[in-house]
Amino acid sequence: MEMIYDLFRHTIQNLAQNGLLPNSLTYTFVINALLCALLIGPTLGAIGTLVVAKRMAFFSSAIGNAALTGIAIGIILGEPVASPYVSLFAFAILFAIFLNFSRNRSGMSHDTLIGVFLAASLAVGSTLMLSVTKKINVHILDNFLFGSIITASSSDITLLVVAVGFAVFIGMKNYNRFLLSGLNPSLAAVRQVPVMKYDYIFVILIALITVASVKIVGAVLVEALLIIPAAAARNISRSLKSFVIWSVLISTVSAVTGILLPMQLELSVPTGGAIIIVATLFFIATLIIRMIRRQ
Amino acid sequence: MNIVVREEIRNSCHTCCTKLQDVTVKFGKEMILEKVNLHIHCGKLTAVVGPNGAGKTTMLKAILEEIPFSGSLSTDLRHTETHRDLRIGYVPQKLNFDPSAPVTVLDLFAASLSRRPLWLGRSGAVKSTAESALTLTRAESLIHKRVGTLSGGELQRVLLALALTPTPDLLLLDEPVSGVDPAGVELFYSMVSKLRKDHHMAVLMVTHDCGVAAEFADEMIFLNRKVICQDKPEIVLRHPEFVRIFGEISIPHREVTNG
Repeated sequence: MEMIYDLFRHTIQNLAQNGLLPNSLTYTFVINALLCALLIGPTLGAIGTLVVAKRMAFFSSAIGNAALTGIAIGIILGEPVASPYVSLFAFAILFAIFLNFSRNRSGMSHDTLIGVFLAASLAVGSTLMLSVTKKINVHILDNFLFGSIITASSSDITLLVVAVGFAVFIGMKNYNRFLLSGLNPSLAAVRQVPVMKYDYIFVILIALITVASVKIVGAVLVEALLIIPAAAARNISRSLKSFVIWSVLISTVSAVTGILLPMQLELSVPTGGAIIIVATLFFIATLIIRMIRRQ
Repeated sequence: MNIVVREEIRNSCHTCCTKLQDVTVKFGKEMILEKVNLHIHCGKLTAVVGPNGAGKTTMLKAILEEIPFSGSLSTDLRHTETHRDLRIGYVPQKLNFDPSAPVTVLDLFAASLSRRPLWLGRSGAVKSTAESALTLTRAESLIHKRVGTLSGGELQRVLLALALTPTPDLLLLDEPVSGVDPAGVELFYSMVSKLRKDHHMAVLMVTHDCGVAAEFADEMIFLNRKVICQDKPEIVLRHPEFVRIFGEISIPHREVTNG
């Protein structure tokens, strides 16, 4: 693990010193940032296609917001301020499971239900957050809200690697089944797909990947990276294969550009914001392409 | 709640069937289906009719084991091959589908038939299977079309082709022709009729359109929370309870084949 990382770092640094890559890549923290972008980009891009195809954009949005509440709870319970991961994971996953459970039972329109819980979790989160900020430095919370690659520690990165590895494994193995149960649950049931089980696995997967990327792109914007690249890809794709390829490509390019460009231009902007702005530009471009094609 | 399958050699195909015994479904305190007893025979097209909220779709979902129910579901298969589960084909009423989603007909087949992630490319086997199934339902030209762009009739033919891969023992159709133009309806029904004869499969079809269904169905079940009447269509159509709800319906072109 460490060896692969060192190899990656040295290769990039050599390339940067020889002028083949931007000069800023000689710094270790910039390389860490690049590594995170290359992990988060493709993963969120690929899972995002399922989120969009299953119409769960709002759902994943709610989970993103739940991450905030998780952070506040963690800090109150006395976890390390920079990494309240236990509460963060626990709350996000419980929230996802609970939301999916009530989605299946209540018979209520999904977006109404999600709207209620999103607002409730945000209210609890912000209330707790306010009581927390009296005790700690507000900038640490900024990092969680809007992402900051600079402060990402090696344990943050390790966690990300593990989460991404897990997500890729589950996602690859079950992509078709997730998709099929999203298209029509009965059609999936007839193919011996336990739809309900797969729904739970999928929401837990979203919670996991959301939590693991929170420190890099921020709680507010993590779900945007799940949705925008996939939405952009959908505008220009005609089959599922091109949908996934475009989504991964757009998401990765957005993540890399959003992290490296501000550093190159020496702009002090939050990473998450920069990434989403780039992704949104892609979305607008593909929307224009789509409109032109339609005429 | 597993489907019990007994493999037995049967001389006459009509003795093999799927049996529902005292199938009861409750949502909370509300009784949706009460003690439904049915025999669905293979080689026969059975139409299920009934008013809205009669539990028609619920019955299909129970057979698919998608919802919990009490009672039992058992099947005698005529196949003498190795022991296996009852194979059900299912044609849903509609797909819960974003019409602009970039999913082609072939993608739909690949997602159903293989576990290899769609975007890693698919095997040639999936494509040739899809092609031959789509040819059966005269939908072969639609293979590369996006599912969202298909007309109602085209979509039903594609979903029928999918339900036939692999050839099922029991084919369930949920309102297969709602939103399909009259020519499409005729084509769909004649296709299903032919399939049932060629493959001796049992077909159970939920429908609103009692007239057309009566024309093609061998048997008709009038369901209203429980089975009110199961018989030949011309008899069900004259059942007093049926007439009370739907009025007099005549069967326009039915050939009288059974004495």
